[in-house]
Amino acid sequence: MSYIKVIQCKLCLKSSTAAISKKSVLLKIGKDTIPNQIARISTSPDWRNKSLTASIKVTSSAKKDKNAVQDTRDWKETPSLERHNNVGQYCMMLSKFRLTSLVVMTSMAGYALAPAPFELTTFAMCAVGTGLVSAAANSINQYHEVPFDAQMSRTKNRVLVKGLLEPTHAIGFAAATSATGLSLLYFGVNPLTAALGAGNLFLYTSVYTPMKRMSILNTWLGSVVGAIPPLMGWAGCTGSLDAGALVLGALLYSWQFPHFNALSWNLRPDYSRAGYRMMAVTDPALCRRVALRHTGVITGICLASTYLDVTNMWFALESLPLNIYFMYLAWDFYRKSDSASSRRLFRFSLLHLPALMLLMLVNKKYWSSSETHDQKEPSKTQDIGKLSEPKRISVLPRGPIVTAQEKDASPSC
Amino acid sequence: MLFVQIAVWPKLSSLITLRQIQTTASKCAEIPNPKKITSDMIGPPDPVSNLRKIIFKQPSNETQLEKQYRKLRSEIQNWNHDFWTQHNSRFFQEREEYLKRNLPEGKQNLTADEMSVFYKAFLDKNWTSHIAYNKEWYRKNFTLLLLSLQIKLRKLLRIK
Repeated sequence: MSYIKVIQCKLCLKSSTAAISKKSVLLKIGKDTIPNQIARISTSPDWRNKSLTASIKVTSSAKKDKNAVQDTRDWKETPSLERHNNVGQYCMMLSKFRLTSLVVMTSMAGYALAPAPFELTTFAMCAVGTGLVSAAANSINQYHEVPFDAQMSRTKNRVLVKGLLEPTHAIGFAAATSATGLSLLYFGVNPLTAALGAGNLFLYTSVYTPMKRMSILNTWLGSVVGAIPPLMGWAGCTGSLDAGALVLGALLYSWQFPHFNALSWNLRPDYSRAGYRMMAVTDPALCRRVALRHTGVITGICLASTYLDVTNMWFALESLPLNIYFMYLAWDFYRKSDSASSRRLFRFSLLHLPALMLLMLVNKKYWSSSETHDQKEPSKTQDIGKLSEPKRISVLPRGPIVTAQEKDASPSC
Repeated sequence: MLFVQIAVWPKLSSLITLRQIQTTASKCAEIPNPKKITSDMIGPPDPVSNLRKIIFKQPSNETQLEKQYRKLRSEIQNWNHDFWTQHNSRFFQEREEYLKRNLPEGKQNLTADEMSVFYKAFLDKNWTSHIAYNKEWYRKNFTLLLLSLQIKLRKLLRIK
């Protein structure tokens, strides 16, 4: 299955048009193997809309088989009478499932890359907690944005805009997910991770969301929001943040620019009318420059990650072709500034990030459960980690160990 | 899909006829009677304001609070609709004027780069009005949320 998907992705890149993207949409429906899930994850609203309508079609045709009626009326009940049957689907729409998946993926990568021992339960709680907080953030965002979302073709099919649910549902969902998510992070992982999650929830819903209509700075702030989930993963594993954590955070921060600037490039008419002060509209030249600049920064960070002891030498080498091609596409976008080049850049950004994180994992410097690590810290891990104390306590003291490790490791580089 | 649309934005005149067609069409489809429906009904998006109109049910045994909530919702819905109708018509009108001023002989469309000058100017011009609208909307939306939570809570307690 994974091979099929890879071939599809290559096709996408080469001929880059709607015909092939439809193919990948087709593939996306109803297949849930892990490689497909990864390939499917995107913050692309374009994809999201397509696949949502696709899934709606699927369910409605399934309903048709049962009831033999299709709802083509102009006026429909609001909130939808079908809401009890579609709870799962609506919750996914409220949480912006694809975006949340990406957030969870980066947070999992952060956890896996951190040098402390890998604990499956903490890892799972960290991932689920991050996902729930992200779902809450997206739900609150949709509560605030109804009339704005209605203005743009990218967002006009969201649940609240279509009146499938009421604002109270969105807020109720957000209250439930944020409470569960933050308690999972606080009690199951550690207070630092929970604090990062709560901070990011606030930043996204209360600062970034209104700022989109106030200042061009919104994209930079949005990038900070995107950079925090990997830090949550890292903090969830080690209990602290250090230089290594910053590598992943900085990578995510920089990645947002080529990704989002390329996406927003073709939405300029909609943004202008709906009042969003996106860089693509207010300063198009800056938009292209920033995208190009940050692909350079990404290349630099990947090379530097070796020196910060996150990855080995091979990562610097292996990531180079990916990053150089990314830079080439950004350069192309910078020079031509047309919709074709921006679309190519956007599509590649969706492949680039998962590929880069996979390479980082493969080339991770310290495998916590591996022999090297156990040899290094045999007594300490036994002392603290595995006693039958409550989880929170067993997680907390990991900070000093990590710093100790860093000290041990630092002379070698 | 989105990318194609840039070139084929409906012009204001055609938009207005489209609106007329749609309103007559929706009249044919019968706007629900608020006294007869058992749940709120939502219609198709308005061609200019892009908002979907909701007809609020008006049951005979409506409580005071529910009545207040319904009235406020209806009021805010109209306020939203007015803002976006005005704003969007202004957008299309000014866009048309910009095209007229800048379109060379024998060309149908300006390039995306040439259009971006207009998009930026329009955004800048409406900055204050957007901020004011945004603030007011957040406030109104929050009031609605509180009212609706209050109603839900009362219903829940009465049932139990």
